[in-house]
Amino acid sequence: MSDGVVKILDGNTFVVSDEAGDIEASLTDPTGLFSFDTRFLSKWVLTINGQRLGALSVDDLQYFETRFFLVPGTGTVYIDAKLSVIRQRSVAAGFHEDLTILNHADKSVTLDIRIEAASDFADLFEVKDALKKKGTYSTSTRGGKLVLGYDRGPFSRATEISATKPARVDSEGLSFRVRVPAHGEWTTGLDVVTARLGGGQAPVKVADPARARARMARDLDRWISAAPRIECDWDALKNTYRRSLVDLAALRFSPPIAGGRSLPAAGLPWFMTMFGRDSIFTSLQALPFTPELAATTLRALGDWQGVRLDDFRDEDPGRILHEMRYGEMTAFEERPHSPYYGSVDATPLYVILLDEYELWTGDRAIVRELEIEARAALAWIDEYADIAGDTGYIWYKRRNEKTGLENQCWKDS
Amino acid sequence: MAKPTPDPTERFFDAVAEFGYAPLLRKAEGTTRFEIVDGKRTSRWFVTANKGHLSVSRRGAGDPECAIRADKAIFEKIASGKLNAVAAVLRGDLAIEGDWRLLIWMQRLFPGQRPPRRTRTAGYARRRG
Repeated sequence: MSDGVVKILDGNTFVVSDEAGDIEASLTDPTGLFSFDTRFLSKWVLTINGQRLGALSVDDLQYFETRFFLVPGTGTVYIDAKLSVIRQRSVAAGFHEDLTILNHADKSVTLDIRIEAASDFADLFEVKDALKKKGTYSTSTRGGKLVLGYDRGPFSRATEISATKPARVDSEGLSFRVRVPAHGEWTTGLDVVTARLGGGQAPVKVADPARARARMARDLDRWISAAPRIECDWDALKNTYRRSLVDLAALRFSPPIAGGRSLPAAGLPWFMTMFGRDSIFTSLQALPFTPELAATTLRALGDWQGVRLDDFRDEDPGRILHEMRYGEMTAFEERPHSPYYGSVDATPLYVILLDEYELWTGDRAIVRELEIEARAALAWIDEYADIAGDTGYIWYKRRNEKTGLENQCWKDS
Repeated sequence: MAKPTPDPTERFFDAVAEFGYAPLLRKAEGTTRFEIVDGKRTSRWFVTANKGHLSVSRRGAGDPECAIRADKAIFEKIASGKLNAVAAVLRGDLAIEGDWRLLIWMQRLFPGQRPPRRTRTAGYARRRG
């Protein structure tokens, strides 16, 4: 927990909220539930009897799971609360939240519990650049669910919100009127599911949140046990090392073309996606500990290696991509990130990573497997990157002058 | 009577069949089913890739590794290089199920915007050829 925001993530699905677990995003503020570069929830506010809640503490359980301890009221002074509230949230095809209300009083209470929900379906690029939406919004309540929708031609995204306890559902949220006995508790599960629709595609199947959580926990254990161990009598070093491994695990991302394997993304909240430069650098620096990141990065970037000239995407044969995005602006080619190739260093770095990977692991099979990709990368350096003509240097100049990157080396802003 | 000129979709799959071997698809393995929707009529093509060797058929056996579905007008723009297949998937113009990699590799069969601006192709084309 830092800077007043709490973040949990699984690949490119992540939730950024305040310390009470609430989300109230403005257009330019990267809080909310995001998945595949789209904000699926920009408002998620809990009230009890019309009152907001204040945070007592936050437990960062895992990078994909957190727990908020709350009391009614948002003042800074201590409140002798007769109620306490626990929100436990984990990422799973959206997120799942277990909301528990504990009554510490000697008599029962009747409570009006309300969750306000809304979504602006902003593309991350729109959040970054404060742009206006071009499609239409819809809300519907059916089968005890609140469905928030956004459509622009064939492009369709939806957020489905439901509870495990009966709720009154309206277009702005879910309400519960409950009686909590003396020294008793009341609990409900809340599910927020993101759906990408269109082109006759069926909505994404909902992962069982408990199983999703168990899978992520198992996967994290496997990740840590597969890495080298540090044994020493200085706990600070052991803890730092373990924390670094967990942080690296949180940075992993499985793009749809990596066949279930992971490569490092570039960071929350703006850069949870496949980058040439960032994915290569992180893999390179983690080689002694988690070389499998490099193997996936090399294969995935090789699969997407440029094969043609495309001015809009600044693609050339042999060039390694800069950045891949999945949001609305990329879909409508208002941004060139499907993927965008405008990076001058990703291609040479690709060859360096392949060499270093072989040096660290002795795995020559992958070098043979990627020989043609490596030769194509070298040919790109000689042919396409030497735009001043046989100078022996690499140069860059974007061909997409509208939405391409002017600076194609670190930093590209 | 002369055989009618095949339409653009048929021409595309005929051309894929004629490729026979496409080095840029040397990593692709498996069958991609294309369902091209023209009003009420849906036509199907199955393209099977095996280490760069391509075969095309109108009938498939078993579940394909990748299933693609699009309106004919959209598909023909993609096949002629006028539309980008990945952006079409994100937009919802092209539906895909299964292994995305097959689409990424199949996209290599679609023509680019224009021929290379340089004639010197150094090692790249020569070694791939």
